Amino acid sequence: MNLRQTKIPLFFLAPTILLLTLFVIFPVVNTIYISFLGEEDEFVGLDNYAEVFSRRNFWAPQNLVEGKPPPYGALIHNGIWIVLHLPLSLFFGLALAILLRDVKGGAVIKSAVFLGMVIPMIVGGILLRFVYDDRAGILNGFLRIVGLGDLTRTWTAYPQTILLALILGTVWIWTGFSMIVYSAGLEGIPKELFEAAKIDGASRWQTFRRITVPMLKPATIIVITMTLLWELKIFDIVWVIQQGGPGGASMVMALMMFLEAFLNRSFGTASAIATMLTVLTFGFAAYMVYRMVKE
Amino acid sequence: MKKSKALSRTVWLAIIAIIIILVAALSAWYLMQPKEEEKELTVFSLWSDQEEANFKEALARFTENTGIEVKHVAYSTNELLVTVPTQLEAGEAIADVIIAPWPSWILDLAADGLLADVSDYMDTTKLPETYLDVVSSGDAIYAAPFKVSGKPGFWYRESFFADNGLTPPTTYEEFKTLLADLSEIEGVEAAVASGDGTGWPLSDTTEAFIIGLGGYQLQENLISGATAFTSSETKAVFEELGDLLQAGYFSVPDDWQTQLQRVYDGTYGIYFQGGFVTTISPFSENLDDIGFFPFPETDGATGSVDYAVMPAATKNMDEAQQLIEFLAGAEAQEIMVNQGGFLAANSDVPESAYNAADLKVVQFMQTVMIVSDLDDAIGNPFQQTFWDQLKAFWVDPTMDLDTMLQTLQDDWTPPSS
Repeated sequence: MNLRQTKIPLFFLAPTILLLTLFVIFPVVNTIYISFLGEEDEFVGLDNYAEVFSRRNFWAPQNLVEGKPPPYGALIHNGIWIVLHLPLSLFFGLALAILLRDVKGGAVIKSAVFLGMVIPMIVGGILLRFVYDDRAGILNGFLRIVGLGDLTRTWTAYPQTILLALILGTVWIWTGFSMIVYSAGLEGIPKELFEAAKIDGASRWQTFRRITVPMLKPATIIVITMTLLWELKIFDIVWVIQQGGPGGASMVMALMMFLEAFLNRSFGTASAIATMLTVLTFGFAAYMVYRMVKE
Repeated sequence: MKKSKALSRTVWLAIIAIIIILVAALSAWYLMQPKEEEKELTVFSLWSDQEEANFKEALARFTENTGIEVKHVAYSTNELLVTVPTQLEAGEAIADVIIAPWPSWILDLAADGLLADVSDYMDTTKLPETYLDVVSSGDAIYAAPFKVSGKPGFWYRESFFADNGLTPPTTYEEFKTLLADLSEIEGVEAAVASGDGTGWPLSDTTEAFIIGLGGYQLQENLISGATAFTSSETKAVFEELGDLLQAGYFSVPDDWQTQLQRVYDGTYGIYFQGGFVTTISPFSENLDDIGFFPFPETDGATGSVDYAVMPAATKNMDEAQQLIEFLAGAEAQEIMVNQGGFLAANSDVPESAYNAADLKVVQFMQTVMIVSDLDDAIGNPFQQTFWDQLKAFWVDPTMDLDTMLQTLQDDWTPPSS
């Protein structure tokens, strides 16, 4: 490779590298640096991290251990979000993509499902407040119709129900994304494979398990990666519904970071939470990219 | 022929390039021209709808007097609490004057050098010392008291009480009987409406119980730290409130303004709120039918002061100073008082400026000790935690009180001074 060949790519890459350094790498490094500083900008080692873990809003596993309702702390809430939201979003997205693949008017239904992704998350949060409202909510309306009127309540007002209500509500918002990615993935599977399976006498379940699922692996990796990152940085919906309450029952890491930085103006602890979030998201993303490249 | 076509294309491209360069150069020249000095002030406050319209009346008088235009921007509680400090720390004064009711927040900003000393722009002899002390540091005063929101007690519809043979209670026992009687009335979902939002309506109600059952001194001691939230006397207040919550006397918290309509239509019986509710529909249109009674046997009440502050980085310092002077004066405050819902901080505003409903509030407030709003005085992180814990307590009064009070105590910090 001669000098000219080396210089030309570098020349075109330079603006991107410069912008990334200025607006991504420098802020990340600076945030990590601030996470080791105290209020007077003195070096405090891991004190900010210890302080964050000592907060009930961040880490409070006692209720979980004792089988009591939330709050469990932001870190555990994010974990619960991943455990419940990820498989449900994957399942509904895949199911809808398969069910609507050859249905007349399927594109219209897909567009309707995808609407949840198109609306701003703040608006999505306001919609969810209405959905769960005792008087105006569609959920309580449904419960009354099916004779379960005794169960009606404002689901986002109670520590016992808010986390689950938010997670299930956001499944509706996020399913559109996984459905679209899976739909694109399904289009990419050669039809010959299904025809060959049919000739060989494979059942629908066998075709799904042996052809569809393996061939959708790249799509699944994309959906898992994007969903995990979204779940870790979830903020706007939680903020607009109950600001992390009641009693910290819906607190999540990104919201706690925001409150520490901009409400309590404690930038050291906010940076410590931001650093933990960065490590978690980067770790997940790096692993999934590695899997994708391997595939 | 081909060569001529190619030439003409080149000429056209050159012409377009020259036009683009000329337009860009002209735009750059225009943008670099020094602009005429803008004399429009920007004011942030928490007031929207009718409250904003009332405030604009006062601002219009200022413009009439001085010729200085003022633009008002309504912020939500969280927007003001969160975005303003960040903007000011960045050296940007996006507002020339900010109206805020949080003394602790004001002193925190002042300690960071983000607010200007406004002591020279008001006649301090006309303003209560207690209002000024909480926003002062040394000789500097960082905020001008503009108006006061008295929180006198429980609001109700007089005709609803008359129709159901109810009378305002004068003792705490009568108050509990009233709650029980209200709950028995057909169509009443709960005796007391509970307001939601960021959490302040619940904290106001709780403070009424702290002052009413524990005395105004307990509220002052909780603010100063002389009494802990985990103390037995504080716990006794929360236990009493918890008993009433468990009895189902309070509604599930919902949007505080929506609850006004529900009190008016008889869904709920009474509603603890500040005097400003008389400016909000449907109360504002039915003042003859709206009354309040104080927390029975109370010796105090909270008065929340709306302060005007001036960012140190404002680019319109002279004009902003004039506005601060105007807002701290009797003329502006009388305009606000005339429109109802608020009390004046300036002693030159005559009693005749108040409507009948507000005059009752003023007269009641003169009979008790006025104390600072608990969470406004302590500030964050306590305020956010207090609001959040109360939201949980309201819907789950069986929650562990010791844990809740310890959480409040953990986030208490000495008020700035």
